[in-house]
Amino acid sequence: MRSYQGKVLGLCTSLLNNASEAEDAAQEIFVKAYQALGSFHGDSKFSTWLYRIAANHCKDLLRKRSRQKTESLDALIERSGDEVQNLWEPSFDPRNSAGAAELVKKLLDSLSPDEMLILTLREVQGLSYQEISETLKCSLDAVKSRLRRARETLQEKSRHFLQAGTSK
Amino acid sequence: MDHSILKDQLFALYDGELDPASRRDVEAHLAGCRECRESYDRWAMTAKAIFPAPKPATSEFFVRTVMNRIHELESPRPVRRWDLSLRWLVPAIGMAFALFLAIMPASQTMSMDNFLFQEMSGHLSWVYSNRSPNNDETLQFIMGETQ
Repeated sequence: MRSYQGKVLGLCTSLLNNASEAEDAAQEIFVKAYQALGSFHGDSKFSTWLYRIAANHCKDLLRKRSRQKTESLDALIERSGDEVQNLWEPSFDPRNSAGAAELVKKLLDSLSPDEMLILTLREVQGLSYQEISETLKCSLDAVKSRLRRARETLQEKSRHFLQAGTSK
Repeated sequence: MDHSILKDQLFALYDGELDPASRRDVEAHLAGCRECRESYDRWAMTAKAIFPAPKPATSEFFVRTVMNRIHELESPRPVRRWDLSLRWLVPAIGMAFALFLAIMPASQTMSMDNFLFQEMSGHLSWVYSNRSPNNDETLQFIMGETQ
């Protein structure tokens, strides 16, 4: 567990954007993995199998969360002022600004759980196309097209985000 | 180069997923195409702003918590006395209810034939013959029923 703790917790944190929720989710994932150990036959790498459990668990949590009503992206942009513009500054790190971190969280929350998952696996966890296809159990072509669609959606939303921020 | 196909290749270049020959082709194209270069830079900038490098987070407390939960799952649950009695009570209640349902209709309901023979045995001739009762007989039947 010690070898995979960082990766699983990292994936949960990136996907759920909430430290305590991520820790609860990671605990649940390891317990689920322990209970399902009998179904692991070594067809794929252990880390891929564990990632699949983690991805499915987080996707369920994201689906539940997306059904709850939250503040709209536009309302948050209205409230956040200049921080939207700062996000695209080359030297800016959103982790150092609570407001910007909240904006990023909101932007990511506006994506579908599937888009969020594939982008996180690639951009944050740094999985290769092959590893993503094994984790999500889909073809390489499906990974490429899903990743492209998710990136285009994110760019579209962030463009709207940036325009709304600069027009104030 | 077709720009819609190239878009996939730009993402693949960004992800480091192109073979050396394709990589050379795409980089050569990027050097001469402002639109594609801007598209590539736009994604690189978006990704950097939205997906900062994750902080490694590991703790021994986390490991202990998960291990405790697993030990709880593994240890057999103590059997309480009321668990044992409930184990027999539920099927016993079910059996009693089924028996009740089986006996109930026989004692509470009566077929039409039984009713005719019990209640109208003296008047069956009206039913099985063509003779209709006269007024006195009808009156006597009604009075007899209501008394």
